[in-house]
Amino acid sequence: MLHVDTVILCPQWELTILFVTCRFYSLTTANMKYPFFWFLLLSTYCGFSQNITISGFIVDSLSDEKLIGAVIAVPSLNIGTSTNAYGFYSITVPANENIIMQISYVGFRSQIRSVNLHKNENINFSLVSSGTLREVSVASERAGKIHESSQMSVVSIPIAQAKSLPTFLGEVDIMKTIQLLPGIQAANEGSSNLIVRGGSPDQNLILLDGVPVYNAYHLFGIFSVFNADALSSLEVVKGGFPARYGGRLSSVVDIKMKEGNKQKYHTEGGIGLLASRIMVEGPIVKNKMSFMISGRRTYYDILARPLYRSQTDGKYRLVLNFYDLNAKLNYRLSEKDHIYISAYMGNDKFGIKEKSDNEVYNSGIKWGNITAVARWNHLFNSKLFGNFTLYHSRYKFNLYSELSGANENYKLNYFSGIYDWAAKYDVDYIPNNRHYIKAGLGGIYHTYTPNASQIKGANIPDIDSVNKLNSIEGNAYIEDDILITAAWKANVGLHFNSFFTDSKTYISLQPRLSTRYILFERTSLKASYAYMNQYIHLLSNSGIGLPTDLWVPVTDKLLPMQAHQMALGMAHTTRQDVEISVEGYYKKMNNVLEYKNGASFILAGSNWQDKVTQGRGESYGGEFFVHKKAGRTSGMISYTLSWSNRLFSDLNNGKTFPYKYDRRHDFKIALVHKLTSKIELSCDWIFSSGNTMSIPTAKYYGSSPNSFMSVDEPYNYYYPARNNYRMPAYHRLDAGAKFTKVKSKSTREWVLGIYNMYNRRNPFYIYSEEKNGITTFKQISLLGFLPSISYNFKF
Amino acid sequence: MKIRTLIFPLSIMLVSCTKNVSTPVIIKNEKDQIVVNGYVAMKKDSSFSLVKVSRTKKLSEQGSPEIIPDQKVFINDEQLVFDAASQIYRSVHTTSANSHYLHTNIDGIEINAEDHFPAPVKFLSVEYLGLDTIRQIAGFESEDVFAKIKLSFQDPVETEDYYQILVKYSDSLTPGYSERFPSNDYSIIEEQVEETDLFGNNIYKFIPHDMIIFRDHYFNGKKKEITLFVSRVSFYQDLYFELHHISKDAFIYHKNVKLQSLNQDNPFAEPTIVTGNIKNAVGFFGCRHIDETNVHVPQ
Repeated sequence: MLHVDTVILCPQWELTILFVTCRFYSLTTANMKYPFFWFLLLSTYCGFSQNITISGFIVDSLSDEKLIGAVIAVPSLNIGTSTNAYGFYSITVPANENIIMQISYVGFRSQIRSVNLHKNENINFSLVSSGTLREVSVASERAGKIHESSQMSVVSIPIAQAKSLPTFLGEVDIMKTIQLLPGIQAANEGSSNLIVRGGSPDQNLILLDGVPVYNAYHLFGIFSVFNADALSSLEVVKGGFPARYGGRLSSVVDIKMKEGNKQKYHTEGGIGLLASRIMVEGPIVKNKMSFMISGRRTYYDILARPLYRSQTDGKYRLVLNFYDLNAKLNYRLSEKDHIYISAYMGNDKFGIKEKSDNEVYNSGIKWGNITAVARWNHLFNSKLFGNFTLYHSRYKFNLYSELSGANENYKLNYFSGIYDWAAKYDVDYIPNNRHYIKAGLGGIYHTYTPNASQIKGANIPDIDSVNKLNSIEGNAYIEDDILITAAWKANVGLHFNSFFTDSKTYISLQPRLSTRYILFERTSLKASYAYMNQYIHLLSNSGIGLPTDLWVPVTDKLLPMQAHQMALGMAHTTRQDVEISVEGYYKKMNNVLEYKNGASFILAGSNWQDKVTQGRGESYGGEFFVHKKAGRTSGMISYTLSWSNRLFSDLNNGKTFPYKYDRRHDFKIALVHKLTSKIELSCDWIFSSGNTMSIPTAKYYGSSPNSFMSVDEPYNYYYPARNNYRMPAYHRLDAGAKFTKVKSKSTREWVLGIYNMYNRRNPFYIYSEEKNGITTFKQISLLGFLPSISYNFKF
Repeated sequence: MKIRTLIFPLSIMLVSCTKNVSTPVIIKNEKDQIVVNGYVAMKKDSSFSLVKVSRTKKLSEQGSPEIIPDQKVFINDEQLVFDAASQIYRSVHTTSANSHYLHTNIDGIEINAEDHFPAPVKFLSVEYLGLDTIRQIAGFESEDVFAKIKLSFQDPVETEDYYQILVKYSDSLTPGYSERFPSNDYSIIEEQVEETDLFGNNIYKFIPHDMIIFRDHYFNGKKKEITLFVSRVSFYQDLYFELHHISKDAFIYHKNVKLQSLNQDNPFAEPTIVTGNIKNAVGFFGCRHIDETNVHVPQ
C-alpha cells in the first residue's frame, strides 16, 4: 500500500520509501495486470513530491556584509528559516512550482522574489538599507519573530540601537546596553560587569567572533573593551542554552565584528571627552577581499598630566590610559569557501612615574587581552555548511615596580594570566525544513599563571619564578531545531565536555531542551531546560572588574560548577513588531565559589585554593520584557522580580543567606525617539534594589584565653548574618541627544549626554568610621551628574 | 551646529565634577544579644572554669558591653561563683569528666553549650637559640630584634588536632613577681608557614596579638618542631609558653576572631563573621588541655 500523504510531509525519506514500496509491490505481485499504470502513478508521485533546496548568502547591498539572522520565508507554504552566523541559509521547496520568497532583516527593506526551479539552486540576496540610520529609523516589514523561535531567554540587540541610547562620558558601551535587559544587572555603580539571573560575573561567556574574552573591561570595569564601531551584531543568551554553547553557567554574550566593506572605503569615528576612536573598512579586492580596522584610545592621562604635575611640583607623572584595536580580514576564495581572520588587542595601564635628579621610579599595573582567530567556511552542498576555527585568547595582568638610579637598580614584576589555544569544527546541516542540525567538535589548551614573579637587582639573587597550570578541555555537541508540527518546535541538544587537569579528569554530558508551542497567531508558549558545567573559576570578590582577578582551573579540591536551569514563558509579537515576553526561571547551582571568612582576594597567589569554599546557589524569579527594535520610537522596558540565595556548610553557620547581588526588584526603561531626520532623543531610567553586604551591628567581649581576665579585652564584632544589610536602592536617569547632519559624502553627529540627571548618590561601597567610641557607616558614591559631549563622523 | 550652541553643555561640564561623596547610612538597630564566653581548662592535674556573661553593645552607642552579674551559671552540675572584681564566673576544681555542659537562664532564655576535652599533649622540649633580626614582608616591612625559641611536641596519631600557643612573660624588673602577663602588646612570629608573598618567597606570618593558632594538617602523628620569634625580649627575662590543645570548633572560632581583628582595616578582605557554639546566645564555650614550659632569655 502506498501512503501518499507521508510523501508530502517528509519529502526526502518518504520518496525513498515510495520507491522501495513500489519495488516490493511489483516483485510480490506476480500477476500484476496493469504494470504501466503503476509506473505512471509512481512517476506522477515522484514528480509531485520532488523537492529542491535553495541556499545562499544574504548580504547588505552597500557593504556586502553578511546579515546574521535574516529571515527567509515562503508564506504560501508556511515555511521559513534564517541565516546562520555567516549569513548562510538553506530552504527546501517543491520543484517546478511558482513560489514567492520573502527576505527580511531588521532595518532593511524586505525583498520578494518569485522562483520556479527544478533543481537545487544557489541564490544570494542583497538587501537594501531602509535609511541612513537603518536599524532604528524605519520599521522593517518583517523580521524573525520572537514567538516563532524555539529558543527562549535570547535577546539580540541591534548595534545601532545600542549606539542611539544615552552614552556614558560619550562612550557607547554595549555591556551597559546589555544591563538594560531583564535578569541582567550591573555588579556595581558604573561597572560593566554582568550579573545574570543570580550568577556571578565569571559565569558569563563573552565571545568576540567566537573567542572568549577573559577580562572585558577597561578602567577597572567602567568601560567594556568593545568598540561599538567595530561590531556588527550582539546576542545575549541567559537561559535555554543551545548545545553549541558550554563552559559557563549563566550567560553567553555573542559579539560579532564587522567583516569590512567589500564595495567601497568607509571611515567612521568619534572624538569624546575621554577617548577617541576611528574605524576604517574597505575592499582590498572588490567583491572578494575586504578589511576592517578600528582603534580607540583614552587621553585622560594626557589631559590630566599638566594638572597632576603642577600639584606634585613636577616630580610625578600619572599614567592612566587604555587602548584597543580590532582588525578583520575576509577573503572569498570561491563561491564555496570563505576565510576570515580577525584579532583584538586591548591594554590598560595605571601607574606613576617619579623622577628625581639621580633616579627614576616607575610603578603601576598593566592588563590586557589579545584574541586572534582564523575561520574557514566551506559550503559542502546546499544543505551542509562547515566552519573550521583556530583561535588564541590571552589575558595578562602585570604589577611592576622599577627603580633605576645611580645607587640602586631593581626590577620587580608580578604576573598572572590565562592563555588559550583552541581549534574547533562546526557544521550546519539542513536536511529539510523540519530539521536544522548543528554539530561540532573542539578542544582548548588552557595555560593558567596564577602567579609568576621576576626580581632583578634589589640586592638579592635574581628570582624568576613561574607557577603555571595546564588543562585540556574537549567538547562536542549536536543539536537539532525540529519543527514537530506547524505549531510545535523544539531545539533538542546534547553537549559533551571533558576537562583534564594534572590531578583529575572531569567528564559531563549536558542535555539541553528548548521548545515553543504557538497558542495563537502571534503568541507562543515556551519552555526550556539546560544543564551547564563550568571548569574555570574567577577568584574575585569585588564585582568591579579588578585586573587582579585570577582565572584558575578546577582541581581535585575545587569541583566544577554546575547549573540546572528551567524556564517557562510566553512570547508575543505585535503587528508593529514589538516583542513582548514574560518568563519565569529557576536556576539551581552546585559548587559555586565564595571566599572564606576573612579571606583577602588581592594577589591570592599560590594558596588560592585555601581561600575559597564551595556550596550551593539557587536563584529564581520572573522577567517581563518589551522590546521595539525599529521605528521612529524604539526601545525596551524590562522588569525583573528575583531571588538569589547561597548555602555553604562553612559560611553563615550553615544557613542560607542572600547572594550579594540578590536584588528583589529591577526595572529599566530605555527609549530612543527620532524627532526629525536630524535630531534623535534618548533616555533611560534604571531602578534596582540595593546589593547586600555584611555589616556588623554590635560589639561584644570575645573569648581569648590570653585576655579573658583583662578589662581591656579586644571586642569582637557581631554580624547578625552574612549579607545582613541591603544597600539603598539604585536609581538613575540618563538622557542623550544626537544631532545629525548628512552631507553629500559624509555624515557628522554631535552627541550630548547626561549621566545621572538628577544627581542621585548611589552607593558604591560602605565603610565604617569610629569616633568617640561610636561607629557609624557611610556610603561612597562615585558618579553624580555627569554631562558629556562627543563628535562622530562617517564618510 | 554652531559653536555657541555648545556653550551651555560645556559650561555645565565645567561646573560639574565627579568626586567621591560619602553619606551616612542608617543601619537598622538589632536587639541586644546575650553573650556567653567560657572555657574549662585542665592544667597538669588541676582544672578551672571561667565564664563571662555580657550583652552586645550597639555600634552606634558609646561605652563597653554590659556585664551581666549574679546569674546562676552551671558547668555540669556545679554552679559557678561570680567574682565581682574580675566580673567573671569562676570555679577551681578537679574534674574527671571528659564532657562539659554549660547552662544558664538569662532573661528567661535557656542558654547552653557543650564541649569535650581533647587528649593531653605536652611539650617535649624548649630551647633558646639567641637573638635574631627579622625583616617582615607580609603586611608591611619592618625590622626588629627577636628572641628565637625552638619548641617541640608530639602530635597524636590518627586524630585531627588543633592547637594554640600563647606566650607570657614575668616582669624582670620586679624579681619574684609571680603574675605572668600575656604578650598582648608584643609580637610573636611563626617560622614555618605555608604561604608565599607576591614574589613567591616564603613569608613570616605577622602575629600582632598574643597567640598563634594552627592545626596538624602538615604533621599529623609526627613530632612537631616550631621556631618562634618573640619581640621585645629586653623587658623581661623569662618567657612562658602555653600549649593549648583545643577542639576543632574552638580552632574555627579563635581563627575567625583573629582574622576579624587582622582584617579590620583591609578593604580587600571578606568580612569575618565569627560564629560560636552557644545555643540561644553569642559566644563560645570550650574545653582545653594546657601544658606550660618556660625558657630563660639572657639579657
